[in-house]
Formats: sequence, C-alpha cells, structure tokens
Amino acid sequence: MDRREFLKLAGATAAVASASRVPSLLRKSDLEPDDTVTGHVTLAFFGAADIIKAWDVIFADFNKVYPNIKIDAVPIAASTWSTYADAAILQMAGGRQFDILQGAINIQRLLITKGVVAPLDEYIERDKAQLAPYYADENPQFLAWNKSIISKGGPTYYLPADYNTYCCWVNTEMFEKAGVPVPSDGWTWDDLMAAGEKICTSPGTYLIHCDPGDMFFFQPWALTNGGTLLSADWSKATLDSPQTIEAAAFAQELCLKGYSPKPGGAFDDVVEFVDNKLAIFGCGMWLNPGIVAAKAAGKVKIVAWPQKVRKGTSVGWNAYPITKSSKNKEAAWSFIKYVASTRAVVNLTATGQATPGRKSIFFADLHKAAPEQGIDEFWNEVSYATPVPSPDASDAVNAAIIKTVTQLYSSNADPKTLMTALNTQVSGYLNNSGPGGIS
Amino acid sequence: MATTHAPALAKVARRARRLSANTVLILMVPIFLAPVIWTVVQSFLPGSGALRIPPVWVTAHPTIANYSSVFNLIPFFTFLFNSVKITLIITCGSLVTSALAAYAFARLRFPGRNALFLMFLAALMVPNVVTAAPTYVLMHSLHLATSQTAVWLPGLINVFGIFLLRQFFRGIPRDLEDAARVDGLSTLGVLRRIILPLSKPALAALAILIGTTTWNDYFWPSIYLTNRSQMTLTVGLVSLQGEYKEGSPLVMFAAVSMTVLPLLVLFLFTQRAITQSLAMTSFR
Repeated sequence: MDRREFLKLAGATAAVASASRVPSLLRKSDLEPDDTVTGHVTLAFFGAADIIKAWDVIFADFNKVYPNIKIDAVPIAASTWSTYADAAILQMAGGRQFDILQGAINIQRLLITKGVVAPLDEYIERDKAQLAPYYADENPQFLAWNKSIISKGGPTYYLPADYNTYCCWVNTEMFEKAGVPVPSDGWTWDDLMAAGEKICTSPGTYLIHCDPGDMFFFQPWALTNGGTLLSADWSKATLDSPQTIEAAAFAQELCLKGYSPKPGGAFDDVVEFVDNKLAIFGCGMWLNPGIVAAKAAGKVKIVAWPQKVRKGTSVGWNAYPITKSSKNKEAAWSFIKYVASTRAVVNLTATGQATPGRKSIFFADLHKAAPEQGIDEFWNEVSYATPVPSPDASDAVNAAIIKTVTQLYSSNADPKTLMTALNTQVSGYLNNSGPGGIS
Repeated sequence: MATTHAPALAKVARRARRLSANTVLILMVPIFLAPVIWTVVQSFLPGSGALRIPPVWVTAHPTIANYSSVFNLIPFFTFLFNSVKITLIITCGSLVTSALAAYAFARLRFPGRNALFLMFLAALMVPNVVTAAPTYVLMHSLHLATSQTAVWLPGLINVFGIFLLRQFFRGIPRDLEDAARVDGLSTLGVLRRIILPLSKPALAALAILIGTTTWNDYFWPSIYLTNRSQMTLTVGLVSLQGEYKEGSPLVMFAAVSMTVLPLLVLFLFTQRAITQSLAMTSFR
C-alpha cells in the first residue's frame, strides 16, 4: 500500500472512526435531546465523495438529539460552489423542496439576493438561551462579517459554522536539509524568494505551489502587499491597483524561476510534499486528513502567508440556512441549532477536515485531528484575514481571475497588462446586474 | 510510350499518396493515444512515482491502490450499472422513436409536415441550459424529478437522430417501398422489413453517437440524480474532486480509466462495423 492510498483510505476511515467516538459525550452538552420537534427535513449539501461518510455520522448523531426528525440528505455533486448553487436553485425553481441548503461564503449573498433563504432572527431571539454557548464561543469576527458583508445590516440568514483560512503548510525537513531557517510569523516575500535559491536545486523540486485554481489562493499575494481583489463591499474591482499588480508579478516570478510548478497537468500537493519535492503549499484544513494519514504531520509547520507590507490571507466559512420555501422550518431550525452545538462542532472537527469557529472546541479538539505544529495559526489569522470576495457574480469573477492567473503563472506575459484587462472584465460583471453583479 | 506508361505511373502515384497518408496517420497515432496511455499508466503508479516530468510510461511495480481508493470513496459498480442502464435505455429507445418519426417525415404526407419538421430542427438550436428549468418543472409535476426516469425519458426524443434518419430514408428508392406494398406490407411493415434493414449503417452510426453522448453526459444526471444509489459515473467522477479540489488526481485517473474502459472494449469488438457505418452514413 503506497502513501497516497494510505492517505485516502486511512484519512476517510480515521475521520469516520474519530467522529464515531462521539467525543461530545465527554463534554457538557449545550443541546439536550428533544423529541417534541417532528417531521421530515431535506438537506442539500456539497456531495464530495471524501466527506459523505463523515456526514452520515453527523446525521446519526443528530437523530440522537432529535429522534423524531427524519433527515433526507441530498448530496449534490458539483465541481464548484457556484455549480452547486446553480443545481440547487434550479431544482428549487422546478418545485423541489429543500429545507436546508449548505452554503459556503461564495454563494451566501447570492442565496439572499435570489430570495432563496429565510431570515433566522425570530428563531434566534426565541432560542437565545440555547444559542448562548454558541454566541459566547464563536469567533466574534465571523459574527461581525455575517452581519456586515453577508446580511449587510439586514436580517440574519446564517449562523457561521466551520471555516478555512489560507495558510502556508511548510515542509520543515526540506528547509532544514537546505540549511534555510524554517519560516515563522512575520516572514517576508524576500525570505521566500531567498529560500527558493537553496531549496530548488534539482529539477522537480519546488519551493511553493502557486495554485491558480481559485481567487481564494491568489488573494493572499495581493493582501500581503497592501492590495485587494475587490473593494471591501465587493462592489468594485481593484485588480489593477499597483499593489495587486506587483503581487501578481511576484507570484509570476516564482513560477518563472521554477520555484513553483507551472499550471497545467496534474500536481498533487500531498504526494509531492510527503516525497520532499514540495517545500510549501497553501491550504486550509482540507488536505489535513491526507497529511495525517501519510504520517507526514510531524514535518509540517503551519505559518502565515509571507508578507511584503502587511499580514493578510483569505478566509471563508460555511453555513446552513433555512430555505424560504421550507414547509417545516421548525425542524430545519433544529438542525441548524444542532450544527452550531458543541456536540456537532466537536464531531465535525474530529473529521480533521473542518476548522471550528468555536474557540473552546478549536483549542481543545482540533489538535487531536490536526496535530501539525502551528495549527493555532488558523485561529490567529482570522483577526487579519479578508473574506474571499463573494458578490452575486462570484462565479464569473472567480472564473475570470482563474483564467488570468493561469496565464500569469504559465507565461512571462506582462502582469500590468493582464491585471488591467482582468479588472475591466470583472468590473463589467459587477456593474452589469446591480449591487451584486450578474446573476 | 507516354500512353503505355500512364497507368503504371498513376498506380505509383496512388501508392505514394496512400503511403504518405498512412505515414501521416501513423505519426499522429502517438499524439492521440499518449494522453490516454499516460492516464492509464499513472493510475497504476504509486504516488511517489506518478506525475513526473519526463513522464513515466512503464512501471515495474504497478499498484492497484488508486483503484482501491475509488471503490472506497464511491460505489463504483452501482454508478457503472446506472450508466449502462441509462445509456442502453436512451440509445435503444431513441433509435426506435427516431426511426418512426424520421419515416413519417420522410415518406408520409400529412398537413403541416414541413412546418413541424422545421420546429423540430429549431429545437436543435436551443442549448440545454435554456430547457433545464422547464424540463425540471415538467418532471417534477410528473413526480419523476428525483428518479432516473427524468434523465432517460426526455432523452428518448432525439431531434438530431430524426434529422439524420430522415435524410437517410429519403435516399432509399421509393420503388422498393412500392413493391413491398404491392406484396401486401403495411406502412409499419415497410419500415420494419424494408427501410430499417437498408438503414443499418445509419442506425449504427446514430447508436454510437447517442450512446457516447449519453455515457459522457454530466448535465442532466447532475440535476436529477441526487441519490447515490441512482447516480451515474460522470456524477461520481465529479464528486471525487472534493469540495476544495482536494481529491487525488491519481484516484481520478483510476476512475476515469475504468469509466472509459467499457467504451474502449465495445469499440475494439465493433471497430469494423463502426467505421463502415460511419463511412457509409457520411457518404450520403
């Protein structure tokens, strides 16, 4: 059995096994069993193959708390959050009933402006005692963002759940072997470039994987140089600012120097990292099960993104809103309370693929599922992270950014020309259909 | 002298042309085959040996680990069975409906025939995304929206198939039909005993086109099939990518290899018939 196989098989098994142990039983529960709420609830969620078994554990535990609510789980297999939203909204428009719709930040505004989701304020007010542990424990930054950039001062539609920030996963073995100091908080772009000279001494060995696959991955370069991709309210494109162009040029230089693999083909971060062919990859928590299963967690150090003028990184979070058309909002609300509860968050955290937004669980439980050195960086980064731009047109904006960044990383095209053209294109998407962009 | 040597020279010229054409084709073979072979080879490599440049084409230590991962992550055989089932239903069913409709448009006289045919052709211009919502509403109102029936039922009407067969049927001499009618065959009898046997190349070509399109279709199954026991291989492949594209490329390669395998096997066994039927259809 090779490492990759071990990585996936053991990762999935370990995730399910850990979740099955239900560590929440050892914890004082903030959600007592309730058999008064009854009915049937349909939950649509992102049907990725590697997380479905963990979901089954969550549903089973939910039924321990709410034995009279039947969850009908609908995994929607999609390649992006936008295609997931398109499929879900199409089905709902066609008459299908979803009571709860898993939604990452990318589609949260879209679901509001499309009128898909229902306000939660009445439920929150009514059950504030039950939700008190959640509100006391949840990272206040997420609650603030939920109010400002998602609700925009209007009703509350979401309770923020697990999240991801974009951190550097550093291969300490490669740094030590090359005689380069292992990065630590406050390290800079210059430190990164200097490390490249010493680490990339043989073909096929890379310093960092500059992944063009999502604006979430590109944004940290801009932020750490004082730039942005969009304005804070996501209404204007800022991709042609001098800071963002300079950031693009820097990332391009890493590719041109051979410090990063160029886009195209297939590049497996975990395999290359485990084989000491890749010194750094950017990631949230999603590759953690693979790293743990490959027994490579011991050589990982999580550090912040290298900076030029300031700290910065991307952040995004999940939520489970009730749909406006739900005919059993009470049961749907019960599921949302469950997902926010200690026992659910503990169980989700045990999968090793979810970073909890609840402080006590982050510091008590995440280390077991994610033993990498510096895992607390995920919490620290939230204080200076910037939510990944998620206007209504985020799909079109993201696709345009991916295309341009791919061009940037795979050629020596002029960054200023590319980013200026990209800015014009993205501005068009944002302007074409009102405040949120095209929909 | 010149006239004596002319046939020989023409023969040499023909051979030279054929040789040069074959040489070009042989040179192109690696270009077309390389990605397929690379994908299959990578799927048998351990992580540490895969995705290397220069590419690894042969390995002394193949592993089936990536294939094991596929079976661990998705119910592959369930998806395979569903894909085969839906492909067979749509292919066979649409051949029947296309043949019936095409014969009507080609031979039967009825009011508004040409206008109706133009309407059918116009439907070819409408992209899937436009019809997705109304089709879903229709399927939902029929209580079929979460079933495989919603995928194959609309697929039974294939406008391109009707068009293709109509054109083919119109090329068959009417005298044959007249003779059959004199012998007492009904309209359906003429279609079944005269037209369809003469249209085997067109039917085969159409079956190939519809079969491969249905096999590879992701759009409709992704909308209707949200229960894992009903999903097809294409939907299963997408789910392997993961929420954040964290899915292993090698596991994807293994799944892709197994997905294209049935089509490749089918092609190997029916290669001669396929090429002949495509060639004959295109000549018309």
